[in-house]
Amino acid sequence: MVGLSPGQRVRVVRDLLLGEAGGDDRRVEAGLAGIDTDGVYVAFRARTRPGQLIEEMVAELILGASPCGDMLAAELDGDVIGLLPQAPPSVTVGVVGVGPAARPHDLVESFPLASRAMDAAVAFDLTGVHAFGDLGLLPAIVADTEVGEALWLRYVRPFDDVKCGAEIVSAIRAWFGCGMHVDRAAAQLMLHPNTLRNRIARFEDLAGVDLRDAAAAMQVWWALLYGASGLAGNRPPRSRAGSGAMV
Amino acid sequence: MTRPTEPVAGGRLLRAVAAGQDEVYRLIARAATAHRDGEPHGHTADRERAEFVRDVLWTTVDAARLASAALVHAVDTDREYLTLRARPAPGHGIDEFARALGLSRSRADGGGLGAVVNGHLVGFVTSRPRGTVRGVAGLGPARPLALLHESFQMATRALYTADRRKMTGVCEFSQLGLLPAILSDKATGAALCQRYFKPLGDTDFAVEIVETLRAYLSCGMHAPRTADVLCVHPNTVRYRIAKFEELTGVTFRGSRTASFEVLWALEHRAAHGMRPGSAPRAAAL
Repeated sequence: MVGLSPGQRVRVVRDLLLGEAGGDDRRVEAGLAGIDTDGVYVAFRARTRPGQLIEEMVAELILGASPCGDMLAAELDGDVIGLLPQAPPSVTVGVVGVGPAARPHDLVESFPLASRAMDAAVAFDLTGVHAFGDLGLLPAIVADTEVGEALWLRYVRPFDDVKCGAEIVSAIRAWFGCGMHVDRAAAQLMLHPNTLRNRIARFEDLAGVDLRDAAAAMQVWWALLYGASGLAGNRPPRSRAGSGAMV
Repeated sequence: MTRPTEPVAGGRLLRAVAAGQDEVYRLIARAATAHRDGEPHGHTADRERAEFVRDVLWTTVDAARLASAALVHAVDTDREYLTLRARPAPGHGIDEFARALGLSRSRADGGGLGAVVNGHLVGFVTSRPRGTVRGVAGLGPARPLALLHESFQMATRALYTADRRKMTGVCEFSQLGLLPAILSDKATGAALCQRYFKPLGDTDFAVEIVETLRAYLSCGMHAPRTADVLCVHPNTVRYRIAKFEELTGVTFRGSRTASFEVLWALEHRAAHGMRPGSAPRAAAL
């Protein structure tokens, strides 16, 4: 991936990742750019932490590429987007979302997932490199603000108006984090196990939910994570995952 | 009204302009109402109402245009509405169906309006429909008139979810839990299936593990209760779960995250027909 002018690099990256050229054109363009059209690459999207320069992110990605320097990148809305032969090992100046590996002309399907991975990592204050497939349900929680908002309004928001509501919600959060083991969660919270049991019972009573039911427990867990993502209450538009047509 | 010669401060000037605008909208509305009342063909008024309904449900309508149109159609702009997207059961007329949902295609009974668009009954109402509904309706959350497009998007997702799960009656988006997300976010489901099911291979034993997994998670990860459901020995359940953990490299001890991810993957598999012959479960996630 060498020998291209800066303008050509930007055009190739945009065509391959954003699909600004058709499938056949992408294959030809990748070949002309010196990219192995039968090889497998990953699409990435990277964002620096506040106060860090975008050039620092680019430098880290180039140094981490294998073979070293084998990277094609461009800037998009203040982020670095591009393709690499494999996911970068690490970065320290921000966060990188990585999509599934694909041939160059198919990266147009991988790139939205790289963006979703980065969005999820940013929302949950993660740093470093995160593949979409390794983030589990976090990208879904961040992407589907309609579902997240509905569950948050149902299970978490009402506790703002309840006496000791914050303590009850914190107890449920810690209990989930400890695999719903009362003794471990109580030790973490420095509470007597019976105090924790009482708070769990209060939550179930006020929210009208039985947390022994796996589906109900999952909804509450989702609502808590959505609340922790900082999206709750803001009702932003659904993310780049799209409206009713997530990939 | 402010006299032209009098100096006008910024705030007063804005109020004066706003008052003038209100008067213009009132005149437009009165003219439109007079035009509608004098219209010999009722279908013109019906068409205008349908266009108004379609505008507020599908688009972001300019506030001034919305206010004048709402006045023409006798819709209160100061209250919130629930949106609906619905389809009658085969053999049932759309007018009867609309009445059951509290929607009127001709007048704003109780403050809501409806229209038929692309074969669906769509509209907005002031309260959740009660009583028997012969068909299926997706219901979005309450929003002011200017934000009904947000609610309608959720009503549409609720109807889609209801269709996929063969539900009938009124299906409220906020009561569908995670089902709308599972149905729309195919990428997450595919990634989780890859992570949790691919390592199991494609054998009869893999099918047994998946069925055991489903029952185990439904029974709160309690081996004896799961064994009762599946009519097997509790140690068989423990063996299969241990095998799953070994093949996938996950553990259900510790955080509940893995169990929730597996639940999602199971629902994705069922919803997208990845297991031929297996019916989707009725319970909502």
